[in-house]
Amino acid sequence: MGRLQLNKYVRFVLVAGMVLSVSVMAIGLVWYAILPGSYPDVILSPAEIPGEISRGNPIAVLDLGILFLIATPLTRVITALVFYVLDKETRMAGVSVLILIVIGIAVVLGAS
Amino acid sequence: MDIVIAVGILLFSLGAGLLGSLLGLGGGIIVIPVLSLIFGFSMQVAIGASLVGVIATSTGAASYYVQEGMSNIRLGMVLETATTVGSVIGALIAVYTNQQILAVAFGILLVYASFYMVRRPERLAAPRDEEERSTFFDLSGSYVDKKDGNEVEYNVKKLDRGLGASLGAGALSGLLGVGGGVVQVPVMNIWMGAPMKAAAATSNFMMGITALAGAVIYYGHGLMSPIVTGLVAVGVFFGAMVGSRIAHLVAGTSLRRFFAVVMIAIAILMFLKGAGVLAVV
Repeated sequence: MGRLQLNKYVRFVLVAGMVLSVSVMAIGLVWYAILPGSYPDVILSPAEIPGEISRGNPIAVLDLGILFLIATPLTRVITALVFYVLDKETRMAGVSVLILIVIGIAVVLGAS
Repeated sequence: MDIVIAVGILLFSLGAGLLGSLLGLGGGIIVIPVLSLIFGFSMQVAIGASLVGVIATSTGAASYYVQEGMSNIRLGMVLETATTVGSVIGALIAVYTNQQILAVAFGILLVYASFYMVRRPERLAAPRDEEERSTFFDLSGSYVDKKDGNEVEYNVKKLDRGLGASLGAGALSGLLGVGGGVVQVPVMNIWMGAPMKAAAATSNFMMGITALAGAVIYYGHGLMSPIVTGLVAVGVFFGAMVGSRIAHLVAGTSLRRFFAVVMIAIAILMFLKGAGVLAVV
């Protein structure tokens, strides 16, 4: 597929992730400005976020925006991995897998 | 959180993103002392917020550099194997480290960054230099220099040294909440032979995943304030956007010299905080 194609897909992921995450965080901040101090300023687990958003908790919206932003560079690594596998670039596919393993270890260490 | 404090953090973050993009530094180097010294947040909360801010600015900048073909994605991803490991180690150390030690370490980083900003060492890469070229991976790159319209081609060498330095840059990112560009850019340019523009663009591309590896540790340990983090991420993102559009209107050299002095002054305040002279949260 070539390097230009990879650039195109990676750019799409970065732009989409950036627009989505910054928009969600901005909505959370405006929501919080309308209801200041009503909810504790704490990090929620991903499982708690949907329920808290449905209860009208702006902190959960901010948490969701942070998660979207954190997921953006991760998604571009997965995109590159798919690209390298399809292109049979085994060494670069291995590099992508190695990065994902390190991030996986970080998630486990963060949660423990 | 009081709405006045929230607006204050947002405005400082906008300014940090703007100044950071004008000075060629990440916003974290400005955001962390502001959150810690002015607003009294713990170093860990300031670093966690800054790391998310780094992801936001890196994502915005990288999307542009990738489109322009300036970021060398292969080189960046190979070096990310080291920066992510370093970032996780750095973040784990920071989570369990005393506030005062972190303040002193940040002060040292500020002193280094201020000298780096004024000196800006640069090596002109020899085109397609075959000496000590990386052979296991094809990391060569090319881009069109907008200044003269010429295509610049280059090879990458000394990958082992680059990976070692990237481990250090990643550790710096996870430990102190910065992007690591102050280490990564000169390493790619001076040691590895990438032209300065490609090195800066590739460093920007890498910062997102490097900061992510550290941010996950802070997030998992509950060391993030969603409000502060949201304000910083949105603020530095829009500040950096404005900064990149007005950069050509600003006299970069005099601004860098002025801000180098300001950074030394902030470093002194961080040392005082580390010594317990200023209040530690």
